[in-house]
Amino acid sequence: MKALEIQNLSIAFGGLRAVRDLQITIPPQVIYGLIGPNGAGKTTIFNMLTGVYRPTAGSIHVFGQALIGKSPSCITRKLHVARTFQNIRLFRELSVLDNILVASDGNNNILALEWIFGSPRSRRYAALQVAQAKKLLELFHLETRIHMLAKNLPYGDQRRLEIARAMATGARLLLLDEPAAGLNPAETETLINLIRFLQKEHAMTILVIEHDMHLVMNVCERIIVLDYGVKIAEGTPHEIQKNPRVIEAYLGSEP
Amino acid sequence: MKKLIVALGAIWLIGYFIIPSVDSYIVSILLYAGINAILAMSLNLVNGCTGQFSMGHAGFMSIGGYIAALITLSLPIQTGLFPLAILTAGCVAAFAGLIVGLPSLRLRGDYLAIVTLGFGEIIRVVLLNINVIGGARGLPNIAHLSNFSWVFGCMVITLFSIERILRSPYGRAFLAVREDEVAAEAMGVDTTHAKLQAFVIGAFFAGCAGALFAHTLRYLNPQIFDFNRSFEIIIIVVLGGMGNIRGSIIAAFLLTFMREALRPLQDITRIDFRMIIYAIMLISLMLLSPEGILSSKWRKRGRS
Repeated sequence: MKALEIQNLSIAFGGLRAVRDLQITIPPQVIYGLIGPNGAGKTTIFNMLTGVYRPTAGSIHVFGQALIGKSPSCITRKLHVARTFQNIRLFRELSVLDNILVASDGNNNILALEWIFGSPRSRRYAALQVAQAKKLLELFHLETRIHMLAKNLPYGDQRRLEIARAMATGARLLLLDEPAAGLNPAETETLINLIRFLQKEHAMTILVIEHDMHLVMNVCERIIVLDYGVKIAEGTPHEIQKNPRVIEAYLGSEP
Repeated sequence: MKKLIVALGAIWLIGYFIIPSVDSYIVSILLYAGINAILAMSLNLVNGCTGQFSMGHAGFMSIGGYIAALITLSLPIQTGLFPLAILTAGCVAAFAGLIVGLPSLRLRGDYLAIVTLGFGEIIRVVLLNINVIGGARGLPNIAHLSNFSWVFGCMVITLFSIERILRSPYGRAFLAVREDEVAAEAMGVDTTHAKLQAFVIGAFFAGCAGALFAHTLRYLNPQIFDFNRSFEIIIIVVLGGMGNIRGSIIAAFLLTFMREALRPLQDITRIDFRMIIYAIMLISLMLLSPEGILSSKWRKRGRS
């Protein structure tokens, strides 16, 4: 079964056709890159994949399940798709731990009254949640910052916390929107290892939008190139680097 | 948490033995302060913790008050009746919260404030026109069932319930909605659902406070629950700090006592100084300490 299957996907905002007839197929447990010049429609695709926008035409299937028409929270919970944001959107006034717990709370059917009276079931659940969150934070080297407010974290840690938070939802398909934006070369290197680790050890399928070509070429098994809402190329990093249409989209053609 | 329980227990014991010998005027101010504290805590859950600006809290309070008063007026009086009346009042108010919340919580910011404000007025006008409950004449002769222990007990229960909820997945969802609605939705929080839950829980406690109020004042009149009433609760919430539940209690006592202290001034000058002072307080608070009078010290939500 395919992790992600996009067919004939189009979306128009008034007269602007932001994405046109897009076909993408991603097998499970691979890392795909999505690149293209500014305004090519990359984030729009992410917004359609997470239910923020409703496409005007086409279909999206995640692990065989139809996605279009479902609410963003339902897509995260039931279809196990989670994303990070281009401009970091953490819960700033909450602690690092709470940021993770919000995402991992999921479908517990424990009543509010049980929480007020502290029923054994709610206590067990809370202990388990915290233990899992701590384990997850260790993977991301954030275990020493558990009780810090998210807004007080250094920038690089905030980026990593956002990925951790997306992982905590129980995601199988992870959408990373420019995870390396604003990171220094050393932090980017850590991030590259982290993304590979998530794919190998946690069986994640990852689709990453990125402008940092070092990261894209090193991490992605295949790359999809978008320009003006149309897919202009798809292939291995090596193929993409040589593709004349990609070079034209990025650098322009000779007159 | 243990320290807090001991402190509250001590306050109750002292109050229980001292109250009978205290001037009944002071006692009634204390009771109204406690009721205001319950109202402020419940509104804080919606306004401060979930970030949804509701301005119709007096509406839920009035529903609770009238329901409880009707129960104790129509059924033969026994002491066991009062908790039943409080709970029923809370549940009916919560149901009203659900009805109001369903359509209006899809709105954001200013629009939600206007809709809830309108709702509060609708409730008041409806009550004004129901003859069975006295209409504009009001509803007199309500039994004197409320006392220090009831108000204090309900206040403590409200405090514990809301603090517990805030530390549960429910409360985390509320806070996430306040922090960033888009991110909360993307992380699997059903934001409409979370807002509705906060609204209904807030309305429940407001209804309970209304029940206590009815049996403290022993007379209800729709005019008591006008916009000024809602506004007063909002001021307490802001004064105590948005999202700061314990701050709301302290601010409630401060404001209720201040209102009484200003009464002589009002009698002499024949001007309603209360609203002027409230406005000045709000403005200076926004300038000097936007996080409330207690600011950061109390903000930590008691997490170990």
